[in-house]
Amino acid sequence: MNKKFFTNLMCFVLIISMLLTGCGDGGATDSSFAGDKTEKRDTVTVVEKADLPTLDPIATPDRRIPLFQIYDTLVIDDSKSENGVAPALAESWDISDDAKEIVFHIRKDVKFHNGEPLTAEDVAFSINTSIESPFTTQLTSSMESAEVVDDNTVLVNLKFAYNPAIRCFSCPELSIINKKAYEDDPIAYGREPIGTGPYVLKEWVSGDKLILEAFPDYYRGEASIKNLVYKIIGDASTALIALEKGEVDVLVNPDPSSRQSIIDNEDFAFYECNAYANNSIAFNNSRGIFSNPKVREAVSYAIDKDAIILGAKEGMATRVECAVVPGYTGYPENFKGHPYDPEKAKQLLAEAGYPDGFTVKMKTIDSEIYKKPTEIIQEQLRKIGIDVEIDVMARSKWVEDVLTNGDYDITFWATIGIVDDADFCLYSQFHSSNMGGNGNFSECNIPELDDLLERGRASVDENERKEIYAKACEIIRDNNVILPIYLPYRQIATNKDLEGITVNAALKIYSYGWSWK
Amino acid sequence: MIKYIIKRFLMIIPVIIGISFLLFSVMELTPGDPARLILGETAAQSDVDALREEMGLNDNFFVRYVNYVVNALKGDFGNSYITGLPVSTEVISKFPATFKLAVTAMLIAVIIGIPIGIISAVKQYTIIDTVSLISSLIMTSMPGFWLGLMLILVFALKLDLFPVTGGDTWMHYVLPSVTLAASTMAILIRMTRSTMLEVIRQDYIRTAKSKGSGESRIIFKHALRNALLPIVTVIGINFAVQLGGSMIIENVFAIPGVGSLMIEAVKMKNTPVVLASVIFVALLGGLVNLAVDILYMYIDPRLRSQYVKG
Repeated sequence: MNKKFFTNLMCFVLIISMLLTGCGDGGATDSSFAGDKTEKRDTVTVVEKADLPTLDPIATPDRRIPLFQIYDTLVIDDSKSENGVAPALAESWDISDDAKEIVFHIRKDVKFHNGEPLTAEDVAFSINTSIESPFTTQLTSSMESAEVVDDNTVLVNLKFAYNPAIRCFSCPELSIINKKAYEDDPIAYGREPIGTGPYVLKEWVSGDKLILEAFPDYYRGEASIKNLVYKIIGDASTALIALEKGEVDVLVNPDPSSRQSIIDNEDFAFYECNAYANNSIAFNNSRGIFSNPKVREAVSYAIDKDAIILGAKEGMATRVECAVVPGYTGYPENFKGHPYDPEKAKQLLAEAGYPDGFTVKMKTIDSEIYKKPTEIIQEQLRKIGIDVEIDVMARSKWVEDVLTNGDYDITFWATIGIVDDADFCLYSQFHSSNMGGNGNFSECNIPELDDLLERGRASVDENERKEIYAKACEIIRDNNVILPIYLPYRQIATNKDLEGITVNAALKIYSYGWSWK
Repeated sequence: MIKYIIKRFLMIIPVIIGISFLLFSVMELTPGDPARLILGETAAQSDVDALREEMGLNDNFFVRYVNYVVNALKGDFGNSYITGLPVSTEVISKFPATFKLAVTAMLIAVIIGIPIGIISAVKQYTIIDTVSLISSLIMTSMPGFWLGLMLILVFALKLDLFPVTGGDTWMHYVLPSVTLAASTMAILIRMTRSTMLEVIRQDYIRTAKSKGSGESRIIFKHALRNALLPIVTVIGINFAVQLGGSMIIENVFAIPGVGSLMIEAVKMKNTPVVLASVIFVALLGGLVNLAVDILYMYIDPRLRSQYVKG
């Protein structure tokens, strides 16, 4: 019995070990472990921090990098050209004089990944689907419908005169999808996407990686990098080690604490630019203690922005004074905010009726991006007599409390701009119609501001828009609706032999122009 | 005997129901709106409300729970809030990676831990004993993610012996399994050592020695077999613990298993996926413990006779 038992046990162990080794498939797609030089030159591996919910560009709230490679848009961003965009799938376009219609002329030589030609039907369908989708409301709120005029022409009707409309069409939420395949089965489309972009989805191992292959019939010519692998690595330290070892080649927004070691490492190239994310102190303008404009004004003089940048971002951020992000169309040059003047702040607080200060709760998200600046702000406000109690919570709770219900007094927040136009910074956040969970969580209700914002989006005169937005920013500053503090950096760390990398403030990363040295 | 096995198997069911109710309540009570998390922070409130209605999130809690249980019993665990795909296929597809990790880790812990424990007991108070006790203390004190990162730094980066991330080949599982095995190994070393010491002092061992039996025969035939019962208990309980601990390890080593799936699902309040993956893991843990119970009967003839008679 004894021998039999152990014999059985050994057999069991052997069988399990054989099963396990049999299960491992011997590294079919394991391109980077051995560091094979020739194979590597064909492939670039990019780190993704989490799996994508879908590859349907219209049914996703976030701009995920693989979407930029699989799909094309009608136009792409080009800061040097008129209107700020250059042709892509649309070779030209006409904007009506009243800014309520855009006619797109579509290229005739574009093919989908399945060989079908791109037609106006696909374009109109894509735009209409995006307009109806709840995921893309912020982008398409100005659009009414898209109509097919002929095989290569599409007319887009806007709900109101909206000058920045053309800029929206460079965004991945308005990617052009294949009408037939999408109508057939939209859920399957998200797992087996068909786009016109320079890369085709070859394989998607859920939770592990995505593999894209260059599309040979791409209208601009096949991409020079043949394979793109998106490896999902959730842990920031592991991602950095994988980059050092050469298992991955591109790491977007690495952990800030590792920035210096990446810059010092000769095997890496490091790219940096300002992010289009306005990090500001937000106040509840209509309820609670900060509904008193003098109190808000007092805070605006009490904040030492440079100290926050130094303390929270180790100096790696750009100070801002204006509610509009620098670089956006309509940004007022040389805008001045309030200087740092704690004595004046104390005086204003006394005038507001709080000579001995007061106690207030500041809600913040449980992440270093928000916690650190909040702590510094707490210290700075303590100096003028305001006792801040920090209330740290999970992001989902913060969103529910602050963005949806307006249940807060003061907080620190970053608004991400999806289109680099002043209207996108201001309208949803400051127009009174957007209170109640639609973006105006500051609960700001200033008729003069509303009027300016409405005129700004309708005007077709660039100079007039500049004046309008300059005035709007002044009103926001003078009423201290929010207090903009800084723009953080966008960073990309890559293998030093990879060329053609550009870091983009809106994180639109196109791999088409990449190549190995 | 069969009746005993069936009875024990049926006992797993109330455990699963209890777990599902507890989880369902926790997901309900924690803040965060799944509809808002799906559509994103900039979505219009009206769209979020419409999606909530569509997902049935505004229905009464007990109605939703009962619906869930009824469907689950039919095998339908719902669709993921994020991908829209059936949850059962998602969990099952991720299962092999986690299973490989947990089984390999357990094997490493057993194959290394038990022999070291035996040696430690037989050579009590020698240098071997001291070293093994100290190392097991160190292993049990180290946090899993730290140990994992240290192993990656040394063996994957500096020595270039193993890959850093992923779950493609068996080489990818070595470092994660060793990391996961560490705490169980430590427990097994201590457990084996103490039960062996207890058994060695028994009369029947002295009898065997005086009969002239060889050392290894005494250790394996007489001592170990009697010491095995508590050891096997520890293995059973720890397997369930390891399944839970694999979450952190999977995250550090970027292995696409049930653990990583669970973490992502909790962050996004993807209730169907959280429920299904936890129930799956609980079921697995329950089955392993059942197997351990059955194993008892082979190890200990006293128990076997109790059940076979009936």
